[in-house]
Amino acid sequence: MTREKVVIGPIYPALEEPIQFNLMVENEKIINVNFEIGFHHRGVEKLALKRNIWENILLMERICGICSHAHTLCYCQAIEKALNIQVPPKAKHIRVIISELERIHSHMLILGAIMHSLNFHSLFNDIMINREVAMEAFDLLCGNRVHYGINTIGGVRRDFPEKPLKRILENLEELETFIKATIDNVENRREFQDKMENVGVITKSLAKKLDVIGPVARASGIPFDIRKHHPYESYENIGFEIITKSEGDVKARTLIRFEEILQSIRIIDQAVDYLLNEKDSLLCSESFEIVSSEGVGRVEAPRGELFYYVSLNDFSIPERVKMRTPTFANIPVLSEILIGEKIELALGIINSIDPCIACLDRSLIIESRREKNAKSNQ
Amino acid sequence: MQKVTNENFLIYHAFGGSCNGCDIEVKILEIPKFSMKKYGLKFTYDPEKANIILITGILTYKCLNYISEILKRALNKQIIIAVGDCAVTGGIFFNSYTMKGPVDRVIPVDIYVSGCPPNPKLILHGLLKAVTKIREKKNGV
Amino acid sequence: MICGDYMGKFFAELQRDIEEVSKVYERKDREIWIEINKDDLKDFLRNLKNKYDAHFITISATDVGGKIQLIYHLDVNGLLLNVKTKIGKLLAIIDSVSDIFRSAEWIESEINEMFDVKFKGKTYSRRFLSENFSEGFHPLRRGKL
Repeated sequence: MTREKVVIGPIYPALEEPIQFNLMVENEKIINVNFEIGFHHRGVEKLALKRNIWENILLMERICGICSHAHTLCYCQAIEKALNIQVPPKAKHIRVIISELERIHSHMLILGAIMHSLNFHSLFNDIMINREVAMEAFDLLCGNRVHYGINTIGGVRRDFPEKPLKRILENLEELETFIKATIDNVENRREFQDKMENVGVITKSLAKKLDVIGPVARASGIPFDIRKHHPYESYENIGFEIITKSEGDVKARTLIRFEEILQSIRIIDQAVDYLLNEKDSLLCSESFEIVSSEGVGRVEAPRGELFYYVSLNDFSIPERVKMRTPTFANIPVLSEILIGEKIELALGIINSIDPCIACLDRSLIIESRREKNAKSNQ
Repeated sequence: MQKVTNENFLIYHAFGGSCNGCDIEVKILEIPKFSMKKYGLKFTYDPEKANIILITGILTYKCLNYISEILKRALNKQIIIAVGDCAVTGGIFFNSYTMKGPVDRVIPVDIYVSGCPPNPKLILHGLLKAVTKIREKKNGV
Repeated sequence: MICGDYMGKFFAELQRDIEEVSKVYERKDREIWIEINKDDLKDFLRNLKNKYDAHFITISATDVGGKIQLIYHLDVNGLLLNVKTKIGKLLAIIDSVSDIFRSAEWIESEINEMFDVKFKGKTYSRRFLSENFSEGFHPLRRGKL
């Protein structure tokens, strides 16, 4: 019985961000998991106390480069609820279009990473090429590929003219055909079954015990989505479905993200329809007063529920800004499901949880409980 | 204007603690739309063999513990590029308590590419300038 | 006055349980903010988990001058429940809830690091920030005490 230690990271080909996994392996199966995070900790909560509430929008955007719109949306929602500011309907629909485009680009990024870590390189290339549809849409509408700068307190900063919106709808139709073909590919070909079926299973009871959220929970049978559970912006007036699966393995988590992309295209169609037909012009609410209050924002980011708590005094500099990112809630489940799996499948399982380490922003060392049991058995 | 070439220039990407916006724009240079392969550029995961070292992020203390050896050995032998506002000046995280400083407080930088994040075409432009510098060094200029 | 018109028998019972131990100080659309004594907190949370299957979101900690204020955020079937309690800054100790909610372990660890709050029943060894910082450095605490 030989035991060896395998260290993955912090810089490794299939991992996008610096995080270090120390795995103890015996006979090619993992028996212990230790991970170290904290490379990205930049002290954002402390920096937010030195800037006023408008300058903080720029800071919150740069917490994460993949879900930056979700962070500013949640922050603005928390302040709008605290100060009772009404957002006009046109701004709500613009916010929904950018949220769904962001969901598309983020899902395609992690799907490419999953395919790359399971050695399906041609599919990785195809997915990244088609992801450029979403990036070009951002460039046309907002002026930048990343960090779009669309939100402000009380509404949005830009209007979307007609021609770019129609062009984006045409490009999204082609994307839809590609996604449908890839779903057929993944569901039916034999090579995908061996590496993804019954691997890294999260049962429904484990998901409830650890309070897991986002596509990871929906793949294990818990239909929890903030867009239907606690609706915000204009999601109450838009028709779409929540996709759930019951197996909870890597294949379910992959297929769920493909199908959510199709739902996002459906939502964008309806929101663009509203913008092209209604003729209102108000983009942002009028002036408001800053009083001592506290507010909470909840938004469905691509990885799960994002939560912000903001506390204000009578000044324009906030007293406290606290954020809970979805990866913070999902990462503890890794120390349970990696045990007993083969070492060559470890990266695929880690990527199927969709860790966004820049959002995680903390530093902890977690020890799995099994090592203590294993030692006592010897 | 760079000619299509048979030479290989290897790039090592070192992380310094960023929002990952710049990291993804760097990774995307491999797809056919930007195709850095035809200029002879390739990514490598072995820092000793690289000709160019590309750094993104604000350089937190924790990241610096891991890459300080690589940076020490790179002085005068490899070209150093700082990509993104965070690596060039510290950006919006300037003076945070976990930050060792933008890259040029730790090691002298040859090429700066700023932007938040810079467009992939701009990063490619910076990499080609690095290639020119390497060729000049080889020819003894 | 019960907030919202989706409240049925389930929420009427929840309302009674809340008003027994704590004081409601704000109601908004699908949100309730309550204030509770720190000694009654753990039993209240245990009741919420066992009887109403509450989903744990996070704990927000703030330094408000002479005290540290902790707000426990929970989701009960669509209703957002914010439970506020205050502890003194000098001793700064409160019961840990990680035996009721497994996912509270990480956030309690972080609050220990940032505010130097101790949790009864669980020791968190400080290893978040890097080794370059000296003992006694708690970034989000204000002032000397």
